[in-house]
Amino acid sequence: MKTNYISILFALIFGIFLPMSLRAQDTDLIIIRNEVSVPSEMDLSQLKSVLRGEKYRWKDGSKVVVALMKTNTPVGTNTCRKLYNMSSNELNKYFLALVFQGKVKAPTFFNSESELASFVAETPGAIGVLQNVYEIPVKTILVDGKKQI
Amino acid sequence: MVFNVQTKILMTVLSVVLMFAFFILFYFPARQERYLLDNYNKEIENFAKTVALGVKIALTEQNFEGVETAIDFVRMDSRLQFVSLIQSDSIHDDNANVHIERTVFKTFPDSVQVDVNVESDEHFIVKRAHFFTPMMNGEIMLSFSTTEIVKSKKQIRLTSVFASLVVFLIGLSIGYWLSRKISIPVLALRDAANKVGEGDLTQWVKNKSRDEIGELSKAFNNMVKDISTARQEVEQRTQELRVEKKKSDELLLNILPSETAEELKRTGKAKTKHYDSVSVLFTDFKDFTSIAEKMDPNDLVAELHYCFSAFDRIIKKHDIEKIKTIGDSYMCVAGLPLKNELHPINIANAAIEIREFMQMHKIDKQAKGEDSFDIRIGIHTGEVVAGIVGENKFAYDIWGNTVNTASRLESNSEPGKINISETLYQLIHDKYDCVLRGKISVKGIGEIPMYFLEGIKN
Repeated sequence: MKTNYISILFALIFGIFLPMSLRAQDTDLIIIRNEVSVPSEMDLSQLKSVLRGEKYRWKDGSKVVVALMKTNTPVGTNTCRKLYNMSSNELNKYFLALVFQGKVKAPTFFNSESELASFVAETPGAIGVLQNVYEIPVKTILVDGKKQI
Repeated sequence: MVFNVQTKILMTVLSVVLMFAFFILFYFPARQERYLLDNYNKEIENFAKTVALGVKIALTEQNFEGVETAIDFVRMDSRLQFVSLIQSDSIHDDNANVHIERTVFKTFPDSVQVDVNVESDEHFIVKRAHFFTPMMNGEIMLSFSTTEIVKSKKQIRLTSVFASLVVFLIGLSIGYWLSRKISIPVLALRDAANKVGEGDLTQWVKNKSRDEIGELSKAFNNMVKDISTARQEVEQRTQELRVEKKKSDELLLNILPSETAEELKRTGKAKTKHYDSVSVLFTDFKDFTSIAEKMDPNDLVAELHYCFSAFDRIIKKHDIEKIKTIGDSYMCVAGLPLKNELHPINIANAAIEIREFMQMHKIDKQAKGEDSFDIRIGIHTGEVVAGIVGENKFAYDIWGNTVNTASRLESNSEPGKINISETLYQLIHDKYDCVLRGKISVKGIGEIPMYFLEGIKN
């Protein structure tokens, strides 16, 4: 009998918190940009291309600077899954390979979203991925016409 | 094989220079090449470690700046052949054994096919640096070309050859200059010393250097100058000695017969010698004492000197040896010290000349109104012993009955007469006019026949 209660308790816990957890990881991402050089709109494929380092410069010739949350953060993990379709390790190896061959400059990784937002705001040509919007003077990019993806 | 000083100095300097040149030619480049290679290895190793550290930071901290900087630095190096990231994975086989599988994760440039086990060879230097992260273990493998090293080695060797050649030429020049600088004055000193040894004291070595050779040259010149001065002094002294010796010899010859004088000089003593036949002559002035009392002593001595000097010249002309003068008596002997068979003739001729000289002198004196001496002469022929006795104030003398007999003949002579013995008469009477005086008693001897020698027969 006692065993049944415990089983019920576990079922309740998983039933309540697991969906909440999954929902947190699946939270929509916001793409922020520096107002200099970075377009205010792009489609998802263009965004992925930029984030993968396939696009080196913006249209005005300035360098593309990518800012991401570290992959050990929920936002970073979410970013890997949604925008790179990779695990954290795969992302690291991906950029390591590119950097090793000198093909691209790796993204700059941050521990906090505020640091990332500040970096993007201060760095011309920078583009970053956040989960929350802060009260900072940073612009967002509409992806496929949406503010969040 | 005998080397001169110049060759020895040159060989010494060249030996040192050659050693130094060989050091520059072989040891120095070997050290430099080793040093260069070590540095190159360390440099590549440091590159590999830096990239590995960058990879580790990138994979653990997600900070790619380090690896970007490091890999950019390596990629820009023209010596790079390739840089590979080798991934090491633990593989479990069916038998639960674990082995490490090393695979190439990425290589720059990606056109290069890399063997994960490649090792360094003469063309490449391969260095590895391991990294360990939770995500990935592996190593950075760098390969750099040795072309630059080979070029540098060639440059070092070329420089070494050039430097050793320059050192050798400089050393050779210095050695040649040094050997000449040392050997020329030494050789000049040698030649000068040889000439000085041959007696040429005019040698003078020119050397103005202030080193030991210059001092040696100066000392040599001083030595030659001193020797020359000493030699001149010796020659001067020798000349003076010669003059003095000549005077001494002449004085000695005046005292002694030359043969006796030579024997005395040679042996320090002269033996007496027996002569079988000599002629002894004595002269004496009649009434000398009474006349002398009336004369000034200086005038007397001058008169004696004048007369005896004339006697000396006369007997010398006839090869007669003067023995001595005793007061107004003059004694000489013919037939010694060298035996002379003509001594009776010589003594007779001398006696006649002495008598004639005194006759002429008497005429002169009488013409001047001065007192004059009448000479008496006595001569005997017989055996004598002649020589020197005693150790001081040497005087050559003769001894024997012949001397006494001659003296007695003189004392039994008459003024202006030459009184001779029977013995002499027998030897000369065929050539000289002699007048028999008869037997006359002589003190200590008895009666002996005597003759007046008048003159040479017509």
